[in-house]
Amino acid sequence: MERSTITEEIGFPKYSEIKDLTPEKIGEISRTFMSKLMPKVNEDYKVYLTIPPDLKDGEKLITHTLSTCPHCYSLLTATVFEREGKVYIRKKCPEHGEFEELYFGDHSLYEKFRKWQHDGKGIWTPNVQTSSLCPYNCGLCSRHKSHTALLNLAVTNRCSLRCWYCFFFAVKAGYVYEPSLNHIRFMLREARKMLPYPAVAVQFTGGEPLLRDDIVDIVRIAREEGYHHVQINTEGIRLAYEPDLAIKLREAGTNVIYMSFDGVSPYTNPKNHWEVPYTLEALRKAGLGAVLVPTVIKDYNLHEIGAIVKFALKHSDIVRGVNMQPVSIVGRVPKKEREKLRVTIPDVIIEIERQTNGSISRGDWYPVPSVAPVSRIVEALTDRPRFELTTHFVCGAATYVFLDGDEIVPITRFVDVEGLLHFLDETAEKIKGGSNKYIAALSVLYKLGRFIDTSRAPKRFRSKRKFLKYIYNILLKHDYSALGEFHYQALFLGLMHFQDPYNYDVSRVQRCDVHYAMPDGRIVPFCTFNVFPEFYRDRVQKAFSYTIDEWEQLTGKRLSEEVYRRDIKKLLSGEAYRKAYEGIVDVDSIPYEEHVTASKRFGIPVSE
Amino acid sequence: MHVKSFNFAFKLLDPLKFEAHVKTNTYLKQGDRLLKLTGVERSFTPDDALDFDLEFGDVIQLTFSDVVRGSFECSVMDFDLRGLVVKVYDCDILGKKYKLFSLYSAENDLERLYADRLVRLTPINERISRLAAKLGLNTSSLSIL
Repeated sequence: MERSTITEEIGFPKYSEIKDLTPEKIGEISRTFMSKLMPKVNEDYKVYLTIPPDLKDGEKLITHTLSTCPHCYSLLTATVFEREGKVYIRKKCPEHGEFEELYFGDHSLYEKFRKWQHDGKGIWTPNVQTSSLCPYNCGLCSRHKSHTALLNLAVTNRCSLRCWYCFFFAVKAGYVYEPSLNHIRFMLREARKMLPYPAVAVQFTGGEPLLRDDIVDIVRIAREEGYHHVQINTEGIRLAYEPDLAIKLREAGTNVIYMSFDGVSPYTNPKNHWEVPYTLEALRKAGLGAVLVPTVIKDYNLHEIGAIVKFALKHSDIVRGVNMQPVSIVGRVPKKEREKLRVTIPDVIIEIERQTNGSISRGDWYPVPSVAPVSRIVEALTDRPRFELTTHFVCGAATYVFLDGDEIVPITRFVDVEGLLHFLDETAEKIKGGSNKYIAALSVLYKLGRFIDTSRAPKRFRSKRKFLKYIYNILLKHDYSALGEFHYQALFLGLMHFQDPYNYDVSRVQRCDVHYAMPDGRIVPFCTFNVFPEFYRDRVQKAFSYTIDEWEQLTGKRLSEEVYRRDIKKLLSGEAYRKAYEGIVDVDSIPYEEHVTASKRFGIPVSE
Repeated sequence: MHVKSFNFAFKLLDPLKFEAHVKTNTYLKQGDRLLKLTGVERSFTPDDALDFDLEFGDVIQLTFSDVVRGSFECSVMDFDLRGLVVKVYDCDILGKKYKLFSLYSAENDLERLYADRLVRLTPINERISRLAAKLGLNTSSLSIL
């Protein structure tokens, strides 16, 4: 549907007519269109809550759940089961037949992870009425179980890359979505109003957010609105050419650059392989940390996942973490093709174990909600709701590793993580049951040391006192700077598996804590925003967008000219390039022509 | 106005063991007192899923997508009425007993005016006082709850 059709249909004004209004006025107008933009049952999707599919020979039932048809998005009942050590999901759409998909690649890790499930306190200030079944009522509604841990806010759909698989950047979409500064302020405020815990961390995303000339102002606005943590999701190319921008972003309050990084070679990372070394140099000079974000695809870059971790450790003076994202399969993809792409969290964990020769083993990983006891103890001691990570246990996993000389030391080798978390949980429970909280706090302080064996820790943590001080400040003071300092010493390894229509589980999305701010004031879980773009992302962004002509007239720019051309020769010749990959990949063994082919095949032209 | 109330028993094994038994008593405000209602009982069907979510999604944070994961036995009481409706949920959740309240206005639309939440439960006397104030009744009139 063209933008003009949508706006005419719902009577929405032209975006250029509202963009300069105050945040309050923009909010007032936007909110009136919220219900008109919602997905509609029997129009957009159907509901088939029939008996879930049966098990077949050799399959063991785990549970039933709600899922969606990958073709028509109808709501279906599904069966989750174990077969030959793996976990699968199966559902049957009366119109499009049966679909079976890998849900979690290792049943023993599923068993370990599920024990850590912990639900949040829900949303006490829902900003939509509950009027249809989950996930077609997002906004957030009263069913949602987790507060926003990270708010995503798309500041543009423009992008200077033309990656072959991407179809939603401005040129292909046919409109420009670029909320004004006042509009961004409105969206940020909406998320700050939420209870029991307002959003405190925001990620500006796109398109390519660094294409906005006012990105520094956007960061400043987020800080003004009370966000403690600001990160920018970027391919980092502009920073490679404009290192001063990294300084400006840091000074305005950016904490981290969340940078796409799909591999260590030009074959696996044609998006920014050549620019990353210069981007890291710019970030070093600015003192601005980076998190590397590989999208992991089975037949494409899974074989390089260990090398990516090693690359991050090599640059751990500025790289704070690696957040790996198993691919989310978009569009209609036949089963055989999906099998070449599909990886789940355990598949990546097991490959990391193999590719690091056991240095980082499967036992070193814990699911995201395992840290809930940390929030529970702080909450019990302070008597007010605290930030907590309560996603579904299948959605994410993490660990911390340290480099000790040449040796990789995961945190689990010298901290009894499981024992510590259980101890904190039990103590929180005792306080809730009426125990004296001051005595409980003292007992935490006294017993904390029992869970740490500093003789097995990296050399710089051999002083038990120093390490305990970190843990104490993080756990009991919930001190953000202590957490930051800890991050500087460690490398965070995270895995976040966003869903797609094939493996969709409504139980997961109801617990999602990575949300998007939408221009109509709704806050929407990541896996409804991106999995059903026709109902959420595209529908709403179109309504609040400029036509390309309008935008070009307004800015004097030409969208079609905004194309990045890569000067590979120049990038290869810089010292930073060679140094960045030294010891990780032999870049000299790759002929120049292959660099060029890799870039062009991906969709990025090369100046020759 | 059509109003539904739910009685159910729910048991879950994955991801964690969980058990909830909920019995709903439904009252209608008549003058300065509350009248206990008896509805027509029937089995739960998927068409009741949204109403179930509306009733329990925030009160005890249990939704239809949760209950499909486990064993769920539920009966639905249908009422046809107008006025202020008080629902009392006698809950047994993981062996702990709770009494929770909600208040609806059933006129042209069904509008929820008040609801307790298990995760932020204040002492029962406070909640009864709040409910009484919303109903425009003395707390003594709510002694039957």
